[in-house]
Amino acid sequence: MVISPKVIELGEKLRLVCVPAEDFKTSQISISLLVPREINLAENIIIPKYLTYSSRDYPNPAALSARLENLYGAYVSGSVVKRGESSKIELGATCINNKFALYNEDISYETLELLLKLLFEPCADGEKFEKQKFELVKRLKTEDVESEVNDKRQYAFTRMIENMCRDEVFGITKKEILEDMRKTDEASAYRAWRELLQNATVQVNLIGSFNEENSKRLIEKYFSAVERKPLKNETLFVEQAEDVTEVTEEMDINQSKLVIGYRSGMKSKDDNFYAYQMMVDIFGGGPYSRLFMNVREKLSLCYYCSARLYKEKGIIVIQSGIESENRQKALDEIAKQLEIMRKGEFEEKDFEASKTAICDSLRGVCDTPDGIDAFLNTKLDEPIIPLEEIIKNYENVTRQDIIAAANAVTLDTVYMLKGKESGLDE
Amino acid sequence: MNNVKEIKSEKLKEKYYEIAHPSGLKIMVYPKENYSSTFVIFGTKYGSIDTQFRLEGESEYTCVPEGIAHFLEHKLFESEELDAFERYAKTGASANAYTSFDRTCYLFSCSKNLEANLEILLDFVTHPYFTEATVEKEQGIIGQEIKMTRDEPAWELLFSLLRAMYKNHPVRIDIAGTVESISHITADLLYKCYNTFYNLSNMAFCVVGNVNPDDVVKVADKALKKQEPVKIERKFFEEPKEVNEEYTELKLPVASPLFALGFKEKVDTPERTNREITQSNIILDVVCGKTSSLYNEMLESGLINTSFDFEYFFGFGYAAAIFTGESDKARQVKEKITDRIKYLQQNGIEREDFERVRRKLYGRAIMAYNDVDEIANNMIASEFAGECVFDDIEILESITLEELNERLVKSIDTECCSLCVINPEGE
Repeated sequence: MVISPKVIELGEKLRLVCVPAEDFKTSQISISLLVPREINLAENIIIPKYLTYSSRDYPNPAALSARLENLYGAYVSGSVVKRGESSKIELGATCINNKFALYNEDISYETLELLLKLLFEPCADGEKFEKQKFELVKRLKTEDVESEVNDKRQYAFTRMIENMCRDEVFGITKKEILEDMRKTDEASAYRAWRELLQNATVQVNLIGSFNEENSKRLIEKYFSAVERKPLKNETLFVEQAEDVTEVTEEMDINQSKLVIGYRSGMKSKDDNFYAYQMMVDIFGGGPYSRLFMNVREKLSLCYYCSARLYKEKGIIVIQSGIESENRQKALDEIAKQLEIMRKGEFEEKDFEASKTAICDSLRGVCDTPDGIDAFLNTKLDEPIIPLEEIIKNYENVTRQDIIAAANAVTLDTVYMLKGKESGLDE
Repeated sequence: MNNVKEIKSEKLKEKYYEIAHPSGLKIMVYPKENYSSTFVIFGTKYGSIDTQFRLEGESEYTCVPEGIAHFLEHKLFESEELDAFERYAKTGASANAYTSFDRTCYLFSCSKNLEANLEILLDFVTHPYFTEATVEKEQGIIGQEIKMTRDEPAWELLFSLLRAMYKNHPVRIDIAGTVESISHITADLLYKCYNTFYNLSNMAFCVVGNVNPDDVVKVADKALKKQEPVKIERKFFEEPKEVNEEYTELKLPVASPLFALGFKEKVDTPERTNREITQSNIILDVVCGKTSSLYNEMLESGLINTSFDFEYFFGFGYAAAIFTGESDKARQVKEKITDRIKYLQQNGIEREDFERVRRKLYGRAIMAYNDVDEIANNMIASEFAGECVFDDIEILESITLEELNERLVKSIDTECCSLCVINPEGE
């Protein structure tokens, strides 16, 4: 779908992005708030859950969920993710397109209003959140964070990052975060919420059937009550690894998880980004990639072995699930494939395949409201450029760019979560 | 073309075309105006539960190793010359496949080169190539896939619940089988399964997005040869009304205890109708959806947390209401849910609750028509169940409180229930 996002500046680092779209069955709203990660880190993890748990008008989850049912099963969500060395707090909502309302309601406007109420009118007394509710939500959020260990791939990934970036804000550990979460209370969280509204870089996306003028007025009304003092979001880029750290930990699991971290050599998130992204794709992206074709298909060592670029921090991570005794074999093959990238010995057809696949999937990004929202949110603190321009940037990447990018990469950390026994008892 | 049927939904403002292709394949083409991409599925009604089958006229059932449908899915990507992934690499499509309990689907999405991609998909799925050497190579890869899923607590929990509920039905076996079971797979067995289930009369082809029916038919005319339809008999496993085990427990490295609770439904016919599915979805939402008093009571008292979820789980010869979550008092959760179901069975669902859930599901039914991927998957599922994907929204309108109350009593027997718990290690 071809979209024409309209960016409306509402203040310093506060903007509204409207994407009119009538072909979808839904309308989608997201409010993203970007703040430096180290400030109120623990509180900012709990806040989105507290805000979407209840609010002044909907003082318990049953009341809020009844309201959502009344809005034809609209969804709301609250989340926080690490973005470089910032936290991105996001409240989101999806509702049906107005034309499907049974009684001509303006559902998208009502949903926007609900979401703004959740963000701006929490259950609080002017100094602190409601104690009992806060304690409950804190417990629920703590359990969410603790149960991340259940996902072994994610757990191994997190442990690798914690080791690789141990002296950086990016590497603050889960253990430290849980410790900090324990120390939060209804007053500290309330203060953090106020600061979040003041300090954050804010983007509101409206995708679907919205009356632009009314929506804008409503958003402005809520933000006008905030004394805005946006902070700068910055991330430390370590260009080169000093030496290689090797860490192995054990857990009672069936399959060992190998996670390898590299410094890309990028100086900032936009530094040569398209070349890096394509290099990583040829190396370990789609089924045409070096890692898939060799570590999986040729050597049968694994079911998955893939590489990904984390542009917001300038690191590249490889993940694979293997038998523990195959660790060295896998490492050797991965190193060999990276060497092929560096020497430019990858085939022309791999290069073309990657370019074709990346551009093809980008052309489909705007076929869902989710896709549009995600695309807009990659541009929170920067100008929104059209997708066609991004596609063109990929098309302009040359083999030489790829080789140069591969040569700037340095190995930093090899982490393995080792299964205690090899083989299943069958 | 005189074999094209237009299927329309006024309420959804959507339509698609159904084509009875001369080859024997049913083709569905669903154009989405102004979309750039297209999502395509070539599916066969064949999944992990099809472990014993015969063709009409055969006297004996063929019995195959567990996990063979999934293994076959992996192997079909290979051919004597270029494998499917290498061919897609030239066109830029993003391709994949999956195997579930009762279907195997090959899919791709693309925004350019649709015709070339359709050709690749139709070609490789209809041209198997298996040798003993390539079968052996795949055993290593799939062995790692099996081990990976066995490290996923939610997956382990679901299958321990299914094993607890079902004595005989192959829904209790892991979709990918075991490292041991797949070691018995041979090229010959793969051909046997292929020749049975990959007959075009047992398959469906579904194209959603930036497409028009003529484009698809043109490629199909070229790529497909007429096949004589086959009649497959799946073994219907006699399954007692009672569960296999009422309680099971295992230990895994998890943060806190997980539970799965399943009420096994007695099924007289193999498949559930769309109407029954919708009824059950409403019932479960009334019992413990987010607005329900039960959910909120359990959440506030710390019995459950926000990972709590439920689903109506069904397929050929099995159906169950399943509740999952984290709790260190799983038996109490079971008691609460059981009590609530019994209460509603005796006193009936309130009209107000029925109406609010109905309104929500109406919205959700509309939301399901945004995403070409979701539409295509829903269409294939409906097709294999012998129904139309647009029925849901009509059913929601015509459904009555009386039939819900009747179904609530008939479909859930609180005595036929299994509880499975995963405890953290060292406790």
